[in-house]
Amino acid sequence: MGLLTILKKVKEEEHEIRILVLGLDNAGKTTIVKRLCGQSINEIEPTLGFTIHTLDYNTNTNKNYKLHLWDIGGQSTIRAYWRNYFEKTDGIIWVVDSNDRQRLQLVRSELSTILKQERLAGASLLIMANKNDLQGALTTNEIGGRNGLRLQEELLQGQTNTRHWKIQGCSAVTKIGLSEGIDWLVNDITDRIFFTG
Amino acid sequence: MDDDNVGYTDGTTTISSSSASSNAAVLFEEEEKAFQCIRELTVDRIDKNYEPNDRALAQLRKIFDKYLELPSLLDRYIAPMVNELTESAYTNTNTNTKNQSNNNDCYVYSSYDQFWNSPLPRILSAIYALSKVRGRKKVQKFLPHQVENVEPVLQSLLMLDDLKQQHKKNQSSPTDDTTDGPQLWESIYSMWNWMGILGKIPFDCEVVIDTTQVAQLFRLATIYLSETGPTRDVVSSCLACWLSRPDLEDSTFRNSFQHWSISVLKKYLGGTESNDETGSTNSTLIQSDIYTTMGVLQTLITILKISTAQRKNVLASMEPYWSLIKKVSNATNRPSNLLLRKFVVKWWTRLGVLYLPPRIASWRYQRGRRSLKENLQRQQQSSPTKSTVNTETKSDGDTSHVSHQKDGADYFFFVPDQVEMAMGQVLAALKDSSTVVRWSAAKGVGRITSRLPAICAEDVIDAIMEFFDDIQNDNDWHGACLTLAELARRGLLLPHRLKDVIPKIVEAIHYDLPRRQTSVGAHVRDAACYTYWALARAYSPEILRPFVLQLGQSVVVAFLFDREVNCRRAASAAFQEMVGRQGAQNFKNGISILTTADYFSLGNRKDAYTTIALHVAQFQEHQTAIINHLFRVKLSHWDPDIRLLASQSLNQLTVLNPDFMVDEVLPYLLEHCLDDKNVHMRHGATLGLAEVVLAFGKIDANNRYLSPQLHKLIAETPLTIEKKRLYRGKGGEQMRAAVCRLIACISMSHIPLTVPQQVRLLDSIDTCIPHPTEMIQEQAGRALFALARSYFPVSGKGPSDRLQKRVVDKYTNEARTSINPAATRGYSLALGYLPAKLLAPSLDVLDISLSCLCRISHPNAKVGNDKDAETRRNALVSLSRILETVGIVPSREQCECVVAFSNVQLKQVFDTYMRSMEDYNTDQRGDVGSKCRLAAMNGLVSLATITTDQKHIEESGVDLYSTELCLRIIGLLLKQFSEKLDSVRSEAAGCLLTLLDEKSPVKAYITKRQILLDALTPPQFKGTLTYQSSNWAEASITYPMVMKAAEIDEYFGYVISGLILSTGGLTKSVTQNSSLVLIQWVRSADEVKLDRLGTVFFEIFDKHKYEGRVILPLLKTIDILMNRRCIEQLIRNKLFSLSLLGKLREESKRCMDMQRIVAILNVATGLITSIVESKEIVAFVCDFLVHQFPRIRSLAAEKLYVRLLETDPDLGENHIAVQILLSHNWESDDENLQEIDRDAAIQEVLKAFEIDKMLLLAANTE
Repeated sequence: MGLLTILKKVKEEEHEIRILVLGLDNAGKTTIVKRLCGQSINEIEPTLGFTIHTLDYNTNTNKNYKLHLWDIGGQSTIRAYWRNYFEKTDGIIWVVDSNDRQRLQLVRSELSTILKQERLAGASLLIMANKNDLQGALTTNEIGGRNGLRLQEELLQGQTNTRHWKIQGCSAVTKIGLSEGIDWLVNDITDRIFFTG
Repeated sequence: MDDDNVGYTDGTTTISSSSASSNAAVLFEEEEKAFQCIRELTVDRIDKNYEPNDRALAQLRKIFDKYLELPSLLDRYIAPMVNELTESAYTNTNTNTKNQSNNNDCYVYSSYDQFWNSPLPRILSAIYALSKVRGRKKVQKFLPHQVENVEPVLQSLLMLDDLKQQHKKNQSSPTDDTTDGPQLWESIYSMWNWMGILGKIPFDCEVVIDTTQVAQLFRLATIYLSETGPTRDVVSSCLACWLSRPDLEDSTFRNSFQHWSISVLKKYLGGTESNDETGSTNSTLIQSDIYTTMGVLQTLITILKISTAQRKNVLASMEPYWSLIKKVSNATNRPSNLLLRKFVVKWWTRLGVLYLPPRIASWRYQRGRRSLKENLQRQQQSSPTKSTVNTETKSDGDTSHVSHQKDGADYFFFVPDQVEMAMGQVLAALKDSSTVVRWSAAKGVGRITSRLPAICAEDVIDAIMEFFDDIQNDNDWHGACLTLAELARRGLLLPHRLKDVIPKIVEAIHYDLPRRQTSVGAHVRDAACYTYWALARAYSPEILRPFVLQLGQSVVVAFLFDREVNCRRAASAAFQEMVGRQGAQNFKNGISILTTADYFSLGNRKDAYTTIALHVAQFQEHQTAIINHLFRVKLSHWDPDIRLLASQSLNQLTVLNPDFMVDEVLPYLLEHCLDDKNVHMRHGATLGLAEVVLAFGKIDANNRYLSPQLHKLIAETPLTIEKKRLYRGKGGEQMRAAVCRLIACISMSHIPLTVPQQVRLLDSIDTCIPHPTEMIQEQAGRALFALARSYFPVSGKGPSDRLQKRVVDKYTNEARTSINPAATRGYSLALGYLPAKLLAPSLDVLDISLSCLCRISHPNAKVGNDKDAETRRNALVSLSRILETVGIVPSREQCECVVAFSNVQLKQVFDTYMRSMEDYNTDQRGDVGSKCRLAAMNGLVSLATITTDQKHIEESGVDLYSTELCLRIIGLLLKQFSEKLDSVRSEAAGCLLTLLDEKSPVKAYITKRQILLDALTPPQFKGTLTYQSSNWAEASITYPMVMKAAEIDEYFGYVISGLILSTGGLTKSVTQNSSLVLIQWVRSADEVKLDRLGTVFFEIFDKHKYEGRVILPLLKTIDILMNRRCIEQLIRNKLFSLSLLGKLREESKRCMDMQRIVAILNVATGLITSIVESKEIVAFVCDFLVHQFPRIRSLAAEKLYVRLLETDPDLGENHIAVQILLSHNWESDDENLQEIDRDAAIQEVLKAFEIDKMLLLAANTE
């Protein structure tokens, strides 16, 4: 009857979903999160550590879920946040800067490390290809494909069974693509953990 | 851009659509298997053999059990599974009933057997199994609920009830008792669950079911409400469903249920009251009444929850129960059943909630949370969201929050008295003795409060705050913490109350109430963490800011230093939530702290106290809080382990803030280590003082921090403690150990001491050396080590006579001559802790210690009249230590007055160790000699390593080490490695690996080193063998290695002599594994090897003549080998068997040990190959027929008889000797009468076998 049991129960009863927002620094994680929270995106500084935001999400079927978004700084050692504690992570939003061609391979190796984490084994993965409103931005195909993250060729190899994933082009500034991405993620997660038939 | 999206998202869709089945395979790995099981268990068997169905059911249960932790993974598959199950239930019951009748009662089986010999019970059990893992409500939804289902289900329930009655009468039915098969109650459970959903069919009742059937249903349900198991839950829920039907609201059924349930409650109350009045044990209340009462309450609770009727109607229907349930929950007469109490709490909660209109308290506090969709739809706005109190507005406007003062209508409205009463009852339940009830009550308070006007909610919080008044009542505190968390979580704890609440919560997170030997409070601390967590989640950073420091500091201290791992983890979870929700401004170094102190690293208490605490204490805002908590709270903790850890932690932290330590901590510690009231405080303060002094020793070389006065105070403390007689009484032993530690730390820090002080500290240590507690002796030894090195300067001529007498002479004398084992243990240990300047000023002085230790370590040495294993062990350990301190090369650095070991002395030590490798002394504790063998093993290793070191050899000119000596050492170690004690084997393995190691200087001397190394290496570790790479205590791993080592001729004898001790031992795992390898080896051995084995056996017989410890296992081993027919060849060898017989005869002469005689008999009879060839042996066995023990006589007759029939099948039952062996009463006790009789019988036997005893004897003597 300790905290562990209580939190587990609360999470189920209140239909809570925990989502980690990850990615390299300057990918636009906080901007996206602020957009989702309806906050100003004028002043954004590099996130130190992490911030938890809570949002309500109503589905078309009129179900209400509480999303806890964990915005985790690109520079911090993030290991601790999913290794930690009693709450299970249900989804990952991985934000990529669609214009940052130089660091695409770095993204790939970082992402691959994350995906190997046992604690994140069942979590749905949404890759947000951010800043694609800018000229010369890579397409989602280019980002995910053979010369980019090599998602199917490499990253998700052997995981296609375990991992539900999607890559979504978006722009935090214009808001395009944000709700599509979130809709997919929430649907996928709720389908999995609050499946009601 | 959009195109791109679609392009690639297609990829995703293909993945998720094409892999519908593979997705399934992931979430529910056993999907296919589960469905297979379901199909299998639904098969109708013509031959009525339902075993395959039962197997499938068992398998299905096993699959489901795997999902108990995360049952939601099954959700997707519940519908198809239930469908498959119920469909087949329909079809095969239909075919079944066709033969009987053509009506609709498809589930009717007239007899128990008939029902049982059908798939139906399996199907229903499978549905139950699914309900068990995922919850009955989830499963219920998928059970078919058409009107046409109602009647069959009802008929089935009636039938099952019939069967149950039949079964009760006829208890002998076997099927029901097997745990794997379906159980009748599971069928009943599933059927009631099904009936429950049928109650929700929205058509008019008359369409669904006719009134007589309703009556039947209710009658049956009321019976089942008294069930003890889970069936009651499901029945009450089903009953509530039906009773809540709007069309049955005013029915007679409703009234009759009310009458009946009231009578149940009255009966319960009557029972408990009369019980109370008489105060006697003959309760008029029978168990089933309690369960019925629970069933009634559960039904009422469910009605309150699900009823769709008008509130006032529901409430009116509940009114008659009021007074009764109030009596049930009356505090002076609380029911002992905790579930019943929980139901009562729930009843009050739901009732209280129902009296108030369903609404969300508008006055509640809301942190700026918004709908995600709205946020995205809104036009771009630039105002950042401020989450201040009640300025948040939801865009749809219906719950707009205005400052609550203005919201008068909502702030004051009429609250019925009943709510107050219900709330009172729920609040009272917060003090309940059971966690489950308190937790339920806490949620109840939250639920009711959320419908109350703000002013009443204030009263609720006042009431909760009163719970903190009684500091002695941990349950109150726990209940209050849970409730505050619930209130905060729902936004019902308004920001202006935080200043009252938070100080109490901070107190609660450190709540620890001493109770007898331990304390209570872990549950309070855990609940306080929940409150912290809830606070962090509920409020915006602005509101919590004034409290952040207080909250942060206390929670950090909790996750670092709580005694319980769950509290440490809970506190760190709360801290993480705070950092994440309250932002980096409020928690400056939160991130860095969190990354170090996570769920896993805090799992280890020692790590938390040392490394993690050091890291966190670097941050100024936590440092003082941490240090203060450590020395003011944790140093006087009731658990001595915690006090020790706290002192070690203080040691680490000293360097961070030496000034604070000097100003605050040291004065406190110096004062409290003389506290004569609180023994925990005194002990902790002494330990703390020691560690802090030690820490200053490292950083205070120039005496910058510690003043001379402080030095003086510290130096005097051990003596003051002794003077104040604080060693006496409870906790005195701990104090002694702590003072020893203090002396050690003072010495290591070189605190200036006067010569009298030095001597007095030495005296102080001297009183601890002969203390009977091993831990104190050890601490005294360490203190001596430090003290004697740091002080007591010795001149060029060696120690003064006085010092010599005071220490070495005194210690050796005590160790040699004392008759008190505590003293000999202590002084022999202390000798090893002396510095070289005292031990070895000359070879003669060194000889004093050495000869003393060698003498008292002899396996036969005695202390007083008994042997003492610990003294011997300590002496051996001290020999190693002295060898290390003094060395074999005269050291240039040390003062010139120190000599090194001479060759003679080294030889002496070698011999001593070798001798102790054969220390097999036992006492009532068992093989205590093993302690000495362990010490000797380690001693040998270090001795061998030192003496073979090339540098040493060159410098000292000593080279007494030879291959032969090394062979013996390795051999002895191998022998230990093959013996029966797990700990000894694993230690021996460690020693062997050290010697065999590539870097060891000994390796050059080891015979066949590489082969031996290969033997000890498991195949997967080729070339990388370390001690860690194998579990050396595991018998199944090590014995095969042992046998490989035995393949090396030189070590064969050693290994076998160790192995027989294992094979003939008592521990099952050891005996099995060792005999297995031995048998395998013998089976594959050629003649030469077998002869070698025989020779080793005889060597052991000779070496350990009459030693039961060795001879018994040896005999048992030989017996095992004979039984497995492994050494037939040897037995047939006349020379071998006669020699063995000789040994047996020798051993049997003076043996009075029953076990050994039996073993001798076993081996002897095993040696008989036939009568003609084994006359001597038969004669030998016949001697046992007149043995003084009756049991041996009869055993000998039996063994001989069996063996003769085996070896000479022609002999037959009619042979005269056989007849005698069988018919004679060998066990008879009547001495005089029987003796002559027996002798005659034996003579006859011998005669029948044509054995002439005299002749044999003559032959033998020749």
